[in-house]
Amino acid sequence: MNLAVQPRYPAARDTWKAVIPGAGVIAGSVAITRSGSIAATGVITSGSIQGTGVITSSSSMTGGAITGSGLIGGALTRSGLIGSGETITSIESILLGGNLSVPVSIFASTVPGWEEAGLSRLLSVSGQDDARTSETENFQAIENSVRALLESVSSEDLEDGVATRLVPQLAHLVTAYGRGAVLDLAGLIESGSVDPYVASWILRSLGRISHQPSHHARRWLLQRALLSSTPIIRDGAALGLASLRDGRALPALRAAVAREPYARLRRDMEQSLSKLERSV
Amino acid sequence: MPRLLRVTEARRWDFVEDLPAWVPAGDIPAAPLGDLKPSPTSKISVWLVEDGEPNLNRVIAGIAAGRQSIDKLDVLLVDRAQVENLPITCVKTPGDSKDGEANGLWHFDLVELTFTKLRDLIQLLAQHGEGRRWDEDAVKELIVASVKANHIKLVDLKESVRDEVQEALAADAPAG
Repeated sequence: MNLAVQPRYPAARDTWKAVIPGAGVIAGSVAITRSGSIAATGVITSGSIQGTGVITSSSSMTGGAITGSGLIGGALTRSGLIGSGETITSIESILLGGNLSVPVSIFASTVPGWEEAGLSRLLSVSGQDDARTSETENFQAIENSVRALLESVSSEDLEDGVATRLVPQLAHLVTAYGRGAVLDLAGLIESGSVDPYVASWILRSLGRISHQPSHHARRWLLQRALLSSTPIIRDGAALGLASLRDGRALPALRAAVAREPYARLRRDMEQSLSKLERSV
Repeated sequence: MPRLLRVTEARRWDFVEDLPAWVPAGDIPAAPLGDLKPSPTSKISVWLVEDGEPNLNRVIAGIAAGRQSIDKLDVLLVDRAQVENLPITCVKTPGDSKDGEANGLWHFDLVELTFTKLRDLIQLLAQHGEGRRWDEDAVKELIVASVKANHIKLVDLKESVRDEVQEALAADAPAG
């Protein structure tokens, strides 16, 4: 979407729908942050399309696909049941307030965890409506809490080995709002709304939080962040994954090491990889 | 060859491999300055790492033990001779790490630094410095080892660091 037009929109939560030719209409909710970016979690509710989406400022969707059954898939899938490596170009717009049309795309975060178990896991997870409904109801609270967290910290306050409010506040946020908070952070980080250094600290810290309900979402975000074009964000993601101690992240971290162009960062990432390999 | 160690933040030095497009030719980003902030009297604290690095772990443990929390620790290592050739004067002074003996043996100040010498030092570190990282687990291991060897006193540690070290020491203690 065109971020340049964002100042026209006040911070707001609104409903949205996206027209997918041949597949119908998907609908959900979205929030426009005061900084002008769309970075929101939303539950896609109508029709045969299910899942939890993150609206980003990207102009296209990569690594996901809509299957013939109408499911939105994620970039991390290996099962083949949910497509991968394709680009959705058929989602045309999000309608804000019923008349403002903002072109967006959706990268399908789906429900973290789908990628391991394929369709059977998908059906199981999509039945957990209570949890997702709860996250949706807390949408405004999540955004407010995330905003408060980000406003409380400056990149100049962050230094290795120096106590910072960021870490306990982030742990509180994730514990309170689970994957909803993680997805909100994901949208903000990926849209570039968060200072990269702060984002790196958030990613590092996400790996250290002990909170099982958000584990999959945190791993998903950390793995995605390995693909960032910003070195310090890739570094934070690798450190976070090493602390998360989840062997399922090994392929993503190995791939990140293999493609890392910066030699010094690659050595640091290799260290994170070794730590993760030893811990599982 | 003895080397000098300076605590850094690794990503401040990535410009070496890919200079951002906004940096004019012949210039470098200001990020490394954050790792080389001189004292009001134009000194910078460094640690001497002897040949073969027999004292490296103790130096790292002493530095890390003085922080508010156990966290990763990035450093750059560079040959002492290269620094002195800039020329920058290297003077032995007491350190302020949590390892008292290390403070007396291996701490130095780079003194009488000028803007030009600081720029030269940044360029030297960028081109010839060797980056090393200890993640939080490795840092904790080194502190625990130094506490066990009585190089560091548990009572001198900040509360959050002490708690984690005590936990690790308890886990290491033989059952019964």
